[in-house]
Amino acid sequence: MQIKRSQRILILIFLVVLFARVYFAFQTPYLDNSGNLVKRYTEHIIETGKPMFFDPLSYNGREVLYSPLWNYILAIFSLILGSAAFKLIPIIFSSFLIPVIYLLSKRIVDNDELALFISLMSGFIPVMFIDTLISASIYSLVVPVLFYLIYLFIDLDEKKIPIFVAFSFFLSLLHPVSILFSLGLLFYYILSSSENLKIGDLKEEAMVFNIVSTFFIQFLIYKKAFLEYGMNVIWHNVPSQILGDYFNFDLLGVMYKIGALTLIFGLVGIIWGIIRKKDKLLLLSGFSLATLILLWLRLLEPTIGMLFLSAALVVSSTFTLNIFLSYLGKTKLPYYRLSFIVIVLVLIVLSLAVPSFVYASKHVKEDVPSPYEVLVLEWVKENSLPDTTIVAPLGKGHIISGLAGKRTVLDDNFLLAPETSERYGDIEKLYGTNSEVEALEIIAKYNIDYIFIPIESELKYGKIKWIEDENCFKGIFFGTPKVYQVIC
Amino acid sequence: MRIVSKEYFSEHPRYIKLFAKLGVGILALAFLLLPEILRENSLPVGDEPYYHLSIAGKLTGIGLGWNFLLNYFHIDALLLIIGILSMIFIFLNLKMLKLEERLVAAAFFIVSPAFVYLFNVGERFGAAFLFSLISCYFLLNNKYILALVSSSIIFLFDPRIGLFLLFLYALYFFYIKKMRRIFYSLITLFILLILIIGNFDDGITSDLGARIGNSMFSLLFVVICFLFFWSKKKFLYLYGAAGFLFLLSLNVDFGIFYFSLFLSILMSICFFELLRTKWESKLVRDFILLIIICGLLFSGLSYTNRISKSKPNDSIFNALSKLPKDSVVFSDIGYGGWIQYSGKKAVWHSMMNEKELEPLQNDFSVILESKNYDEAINILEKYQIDYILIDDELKEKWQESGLVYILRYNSEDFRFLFEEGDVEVWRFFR
Repeated sequence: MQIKRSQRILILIFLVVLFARVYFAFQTPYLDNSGNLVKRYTEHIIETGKPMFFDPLSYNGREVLYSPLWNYILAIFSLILGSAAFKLIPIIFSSFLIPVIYLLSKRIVDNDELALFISLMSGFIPVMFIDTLISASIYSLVVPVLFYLIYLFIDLDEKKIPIFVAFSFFLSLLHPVSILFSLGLLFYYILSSSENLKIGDLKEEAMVFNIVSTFFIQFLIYKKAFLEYGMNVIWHNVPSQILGDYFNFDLLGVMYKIGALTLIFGLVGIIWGIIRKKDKLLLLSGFSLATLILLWLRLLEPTIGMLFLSAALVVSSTFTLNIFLSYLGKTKLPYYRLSFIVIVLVLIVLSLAVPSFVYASKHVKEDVPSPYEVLVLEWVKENSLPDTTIVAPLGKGHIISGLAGKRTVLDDNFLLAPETSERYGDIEKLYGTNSEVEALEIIAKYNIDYIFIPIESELKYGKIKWIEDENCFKGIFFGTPKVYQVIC
Repeated sequence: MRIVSKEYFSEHPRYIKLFAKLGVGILALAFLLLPEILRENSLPVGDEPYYHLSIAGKLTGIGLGWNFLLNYFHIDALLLIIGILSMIFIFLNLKMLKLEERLVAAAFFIVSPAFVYLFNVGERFGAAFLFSLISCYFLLNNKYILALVSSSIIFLFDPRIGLFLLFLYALYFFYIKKMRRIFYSLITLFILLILIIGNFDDGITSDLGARIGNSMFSLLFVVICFLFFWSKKKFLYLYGAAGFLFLLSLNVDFGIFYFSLFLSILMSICFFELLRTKWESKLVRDFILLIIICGLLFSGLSYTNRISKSKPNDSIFNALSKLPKDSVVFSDIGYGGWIQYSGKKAVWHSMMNEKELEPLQNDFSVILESKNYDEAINILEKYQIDYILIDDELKEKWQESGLVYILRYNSEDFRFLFEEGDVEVWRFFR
C-alpha cells in the first residue's frame, strides 16, 4: 500500500505535535490537581476492577458520580505503560484531533494543502495544547470524538449511520459534554430552517437519535444528581461564593488562548458561512453558537468551552483562508503571492505556537506540586494515622488526597458533595481569620488534624496569626508549604 | 422449532393479542408489587396514608370514603385490588374509544411514576381515580345514571376530583351537542383560572425530584413527536388536550395522574405513527424507539426504587412507641401523620389546609430558623410540646440553625432522652 504525499505530511504533523506535547508533559514527573483525581480513580479500578463510587478521602468521605469509561481506558493502558499512561495516552488521543480536523477541512474546501495547514494549526491551539499535558484530561478524547461526529454528520449517508450511532453512544458514555453536540445539532437545525435549507431526512433522523440517546445516557448516569438538584444540576453544585468567578468569561484571555488570528478568521468563516448559506459551515456555526450561548449563560466552564470553540474556529477558518487565497490569485500581486501567503501563515502559526509553548512551560512549572510539597505530603502519608483529615485550599484538594492519601475537607469535584457553599465559606474563613476561637470552631467542625498552608494562601490572606499558638498547633514544616498539626 | 412457532403465531393473531394482554397484566402486577418487595420494612410508604390510617373507620376528615374503607381492608390489599381494577377499566375505556394502541397505552401508563405512586402509596387518590374510570366507562356506554352514581362516590374520596370530572362531563356534553362557543369559553376560563391561581413551584417530573410526577422521557418523547406530527390535525387536538391537563397538573396534585394517563395514550399513538412513518434509516428508528422504551422503564423503575426506600422506617415508630400516649410531639410537618398514627399528638401534619397551616408555619419557622432562645421557648410552650423528635434527615434539613442549635447548647429546658437508630428524642420541660 502506497502512502500518499498528503498522508505522509499529515503523519509528520501528527508526530511533530505529539513530540512537542510529550516534551512539555515529561518535564515534570507529577500531575496537576485534577490529574491527581483521575489517577486516584483509575488506580482504584486497577486494584479492584470496579469504579470508585464512594470516595473515602474527598470531603471526609462522600458519594461520587461520574462516567468511569475514561478511567477504564486509562486503567487498561496503565497496565501496559505504567503511570506514564496518565500523560502519554491523553497526549496521543488529543493528537488524533489533527487527522480529524484534516478530514473536516478537506470536506469543507477540498484543498489538500490548506487542509494540512489547518490540521497543523489545530495541533497548536494553546488551550488544547495545555489541557492535555498533565491533567490526564478526559477532553483529550472527547474533543476528537466530538469533531469526528461532526465530520460524519456533514456528509451523512446510510453507510455512515452505524458509525455515527456507535460514536454517539461512545461520546455520551464518555462525558456529559456530549449534550453540547446535541445542542449544536439543534442550533444547526434552527439555522438551516431559518435559511430555508433542507437538511435531509437522514440527517434529521440522526439528529433526533443523537438528542434522545444523549439525554437517556446522561439521565442514566447522573440520575442521582438530577433527583438531588433538579434542573439546578446545570450549576454542578458549585459553591455560591465562586459561581460568578467559576464561569467567568474573559475576552482577552480567549484571544490569547485560542489565538487572535484563529479567532478572527474563524468568526469570519462562520459569519460568511451563514450569509452564503453553506450547509457544511452551518453545522459548525450551530455548534459554535451553542458553545457561545452556554458560555455566555455561564453554563459551561470557560476553559472547556474554549476547547471546543477553538477547534470549531480553526475548522471554520479553512473557509476564510480559502477565500483569501483565491482572492490573492485574482490580485495584481502574483509575484509577491507566495511570500505574502508565507507571512500570513507564519503569523498564524506564531499566534498559536508561541502562546502554546509559553503557557505550557508555565503550566508544567506552576500547576504541579513542587518537590518540597511532594516531600511534605509524603511525610504526612507516612507519619500520620490513616483517617487523618488535612485542610487545604480548594485548588489543592486532589493533590492532598492523591499524594498524601488523606482525607480532605474540600475539593473542586462539587457534584453530590455535601454543603459545598458552607465548606468553601468555612475554609476561606479559616485561612483569613485572625480569631483563634473561630478557627478552632471550624477545625472541630470538620475534625481537622493537619493544616496545609500553601504559598498561594499566604499571598492571598497574609500570615495566619492563630497558627502561632504552640499549645494548639505544632509546626511540622515551615517552608512553602507550611504544615501544622492540631494538638489541642 | 422457532420457525414453526412463528408460522403458528402469524396464523393465529388472536394468540399474539392474548399473549400481549397477558404481558401487560404481568407488567401491571410487577409494578404493583415491586415497591413492596423492594421495601426493607412492611410499613406503608409516605406520611399521608398514616393520616388516613389514624382516623380509619371514621367518616370524618379528608378522604372520608378512604378512611372508612381502611377500617375494613388492609391498605396493601386495597391498593392492589384498586390497581388491578383501574387497569381493567382503563383498558375497557380505551376499547370503548376504539383505540387500537390500547395495549401499548396501558403498558406506558403502568411504567409511569404516576401509576407507581397511585397504587403503592396509600392515599385517597387511587380509589377516586378508579371511580372516575368506572364513571367514564358508564358514560361511554350511555348508562348515565350509573355514571352519575359512580361520579358521586368520588366526592367521598376527594371532592376536587369529583368536581373536575363533572367539569369534564360538562365539556363532553357541550362538545357532542356542538355548543362550541360554551365549550371553548369553559376551557379558556379554566386555563385563565389555573394561570391566576396556579402553584408553579412544585415539580412535575419525577426524574428531577418531584414527589409525584411524569417521566422525563415521556415528556421528551411527546415533544419530539410534536415536532414530527404538529401539522396533522388529529395530533393538534391531542396535544391541545395534553396541554390542558399539563396546566392542571401544575396546579393540583391529582392532575398529574390524569395527565400521565393521557400522556400514555398520546405516546402510544405517536409510537405507532413513528413506526408507520417512512424512515431513511431503520437502524436509527429502532434505536430511537428502543431508547424511549428503555427510558420510560428506567423512569418507572427508578421511581419504584425511590418509593420503596422512602420513609417511614422502623426506628421512627420504635422511638414513638416509647413515648407516653397523648403526649405532644414536635417534628417536621412530614412526620405529623406518623406521630398521630402512633397515638401521640402532632402539632402539624401535611394534610392540614392552608388556613390551618399558615399560623403554624409562621410560628415554627421561628423555632427552625432563628437562634432566639426566648422566642423558641415561648412557641414551644404555646403549643404545649412535650417531646421533640429529630432524625439524621431532619438534622441535615434544619442544619445548624434554630432548634438543632438550641438543643445542643441548652441543657436547662431540654434533655436528651434516647436514641433509636438515627432517631433522637428530646424532652422539653415546660
